Amino acid sequence: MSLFSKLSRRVLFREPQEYQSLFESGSQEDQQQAPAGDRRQFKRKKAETERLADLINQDVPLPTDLQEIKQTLGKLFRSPENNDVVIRQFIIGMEPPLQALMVFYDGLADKSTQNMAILQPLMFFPSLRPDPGKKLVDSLMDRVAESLLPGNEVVTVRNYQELADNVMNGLTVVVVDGQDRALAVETRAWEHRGISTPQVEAVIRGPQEAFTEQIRANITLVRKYLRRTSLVSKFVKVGEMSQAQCAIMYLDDIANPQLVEEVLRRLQSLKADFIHESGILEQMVQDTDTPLSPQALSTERPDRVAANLIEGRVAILVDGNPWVLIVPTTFFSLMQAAEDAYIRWPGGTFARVVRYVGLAVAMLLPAFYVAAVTYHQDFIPTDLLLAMTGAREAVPFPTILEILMMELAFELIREAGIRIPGTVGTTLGIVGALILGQAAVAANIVSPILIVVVAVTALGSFAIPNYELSVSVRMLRFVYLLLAVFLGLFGIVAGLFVHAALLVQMRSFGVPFLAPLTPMTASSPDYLWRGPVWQQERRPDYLDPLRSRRQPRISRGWTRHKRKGGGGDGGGK
Amino acid sequence: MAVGSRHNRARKTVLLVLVGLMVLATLPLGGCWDYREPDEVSWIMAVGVDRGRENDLRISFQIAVPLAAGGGGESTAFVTAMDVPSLPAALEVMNSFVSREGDLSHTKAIIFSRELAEEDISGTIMLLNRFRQFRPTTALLISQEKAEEVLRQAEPVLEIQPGKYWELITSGWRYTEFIPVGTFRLADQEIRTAGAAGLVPLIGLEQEEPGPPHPDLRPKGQDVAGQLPRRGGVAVELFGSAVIREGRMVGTLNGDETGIVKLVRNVNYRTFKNLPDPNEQGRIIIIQARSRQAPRIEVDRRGNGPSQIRADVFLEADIVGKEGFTAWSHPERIPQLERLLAQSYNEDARVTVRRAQELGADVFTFGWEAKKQFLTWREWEEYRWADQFPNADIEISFDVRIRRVGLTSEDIPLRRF
Repeated sequence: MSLFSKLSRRVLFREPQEYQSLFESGSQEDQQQAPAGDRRQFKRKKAETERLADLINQDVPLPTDLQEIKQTLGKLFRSPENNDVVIRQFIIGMEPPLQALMVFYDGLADKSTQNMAILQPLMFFPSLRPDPGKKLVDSLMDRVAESLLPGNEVVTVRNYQELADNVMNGLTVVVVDGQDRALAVETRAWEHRGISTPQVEAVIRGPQEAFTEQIRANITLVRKYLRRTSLVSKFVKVGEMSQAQCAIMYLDDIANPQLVEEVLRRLQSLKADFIHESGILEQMVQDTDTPLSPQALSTERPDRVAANLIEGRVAILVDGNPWVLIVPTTFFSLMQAAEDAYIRWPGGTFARVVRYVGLAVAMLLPAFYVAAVTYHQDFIPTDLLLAMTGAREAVPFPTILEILMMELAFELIREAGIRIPGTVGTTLGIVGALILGQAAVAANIVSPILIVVVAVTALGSFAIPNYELSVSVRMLRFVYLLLAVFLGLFGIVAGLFVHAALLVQMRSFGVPFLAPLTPMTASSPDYLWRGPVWQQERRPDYLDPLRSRRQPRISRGWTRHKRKGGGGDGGGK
Repeated sequence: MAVGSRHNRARKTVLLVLVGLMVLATLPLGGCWDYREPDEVSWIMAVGVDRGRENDLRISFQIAVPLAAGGGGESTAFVTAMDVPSLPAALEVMNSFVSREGDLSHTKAIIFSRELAEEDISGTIMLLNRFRQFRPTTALLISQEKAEEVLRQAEPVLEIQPGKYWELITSGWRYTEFIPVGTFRLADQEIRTAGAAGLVPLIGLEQEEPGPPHPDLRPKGQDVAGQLPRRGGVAVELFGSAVIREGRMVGTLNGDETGIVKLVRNVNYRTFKNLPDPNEQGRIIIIQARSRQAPRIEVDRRGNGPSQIRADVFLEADIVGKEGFTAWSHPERIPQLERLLAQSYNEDARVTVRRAQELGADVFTFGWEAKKQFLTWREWEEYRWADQFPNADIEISFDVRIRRVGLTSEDIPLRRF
């Protein structure tokens, strides 16, 4: 801290020219004292690195001397060691000719745009459309910007930080000798993946577009759904070493301003090396570090983001990442899937109920099995009990050991399955699971019904739509297993009690995690059951949106017309 | 400040870990005392209770052999018997010669021998009532022979394991009128309640010698278990009921009588009646009847004298089949058939009432209705229903309606050449 402030003070009180000498002397020193001890070299390198960091962090203005800029930029971009960066000097064909410099990253900037929009006009046609009204020197940069560079976005750059930012974002910066500012021309064209179908949140009915790694494209995908002038996408730089380009999106006329403010506050306060992924960002902004459940909804579906924005939530997008965070998130949104709303409501409700059953099975079935088999045998139908007992006759291990072995084997298959190369992965996973289970039964290591239990548990965990929640549940089932083996059903119930208590006290951006169930708040029939679309009249009350009503009580006008005509009973009364 | 908060956080972490460890440490305190693998237990499927030779009781257990149920193996159960003072004692004694701890939680039937039941079985019933392992839904049966012998003979043919056999055979009351509802809970309730007698399914072994010949038409439910004219299948048979009064078996009801009692108690789902065809000698009409609405029972108490009891039973009947050629399905003949049916049922009911009054056992549970006539419990007790019942004036009348006659309205008679 103290070292940092001392350094920055030293930097602030120096003239730009002094930097040049500072670096020059440094480099001379380097050359002279190269054979000195490793430690000294390390220290020198460290000091130089910090000087360069200050150059960016401290708003150092650009000097007017082109050669000085060129040298400093060379240091800054580690040229010529770094082969990506191109610092090209050329002459603007004016009268008199002017020295100029072009800086860009090879690969981030598009070469043909550069040729068409920078080099050709500056080198060949600088005399076009002279501007006699202004003095040459004063208006030189304006003239270059206004009439010579046909790029669609030309930004004036005044210090090293802006220059470096623009270059790193794929723009081409043109520096002209004798000027205290430079021009950044839009030439962005880096490689990226095209928009594809959702991999994880696939649906049968509904849009088949998923986010990509391009934040701009992602924002556009959302904007396509919400054609409203009030849809705001606000860019925030997050992190320190490598700043991640993040954006928050919200509907200005719906989202609670305090919520937006809170999201911004949390994002802007982050100080970390490397937040390039929304999962990392999620861990930095979540309310509590509980392993029970994620507190932000991550989705790769633009339609889902749009639906959540219109409810009054805020989306956080991170550049370079197809997963978008939606906050605040409650438990019930984690258990929803996009398709619930796209198919007619009985089907959507049924799918949701099945999913909740899956959740219960994934979390509790192994524990319940152990409790029933070892403590509460009177639960089990006699036929099944005797069959199980018979099958266990040759098994030497206690039930808990059997189930732990099989659960661990399953976790192994799942973990290994991720790493097995794609073409053989699925086959090997199935073969591994089937053969392992079959062989374990044949070798009398486990009883056959246990394979059923483990398999159903695994299916249940895959039915959970949110990956993070499914990971949590997979871990929690071992806790419940432990409780069951020590205390039977009593242990499971005690565990559920504590679990529920912990969930109730969780918050996601200040919103209770189990809302609208507890605390009970007003909501459309869309959290446990999925009600008909025409009943979705209110936005969730726990979000306290600026507009709470989504649609009038009679959203289907035709039902009313019918009543006017005299027939039918309509829906209005 | 910064240092302080870091210190606090470290302390908090240590505290959390400690609390976590303490919570975890409480888990083994449970001790897993009740942890018990299912293959460490011998599952008792049925219990027999007889008069003992070397002790008060002779308890026999039918224990399932799980390996057989799991597939393979010949025997699916074995029976072991011991002379002990009580049933729980048997569970304990059993451990000295059966390798696994006995458990009654899957027991399907408890069988008392008639010999013991005629003395007193209230002690064992009272005892089981509090015994946690024992389920109140277990069937309670009384056997004509030694219960141990019944267990030995009960080798299921259709089922793999005997538990299922007991479960299914004792729920026969759902399809036939000859078997009363026989759960332990119900028997226990009836035995304890003043003013009603219990009805318990009677179980017997297939008769070795055929009964006396009787070539003419005979009502089908005139027998009790152990006398059924049948051959083959499992040697064990359930038929008729034992009447229990004040914890003691006082007599039996045959199949038909049991059927009438079930109709009055409204627990009969379906009954077939073989009605002699009045127009054609030696031919019968077969009627299927079921309860149309709950019976109406009225008890008129005259002071402290015998009561007058009137029960109306409402049946709905279908013509299942007929041997004769009379077109009974003609609308004008149906009232006649209804009258005939009601008469037949009334006659059966008269026989049953006479039998019940002979036994002095209110098997119809009229007492529960009579109880409502008294303002205090003391008055009711002083009335001494059990003593008054044999002298009561009881009339059970049936009201039968035939609503459907089937798809055949008229038969073409067989031509005889």
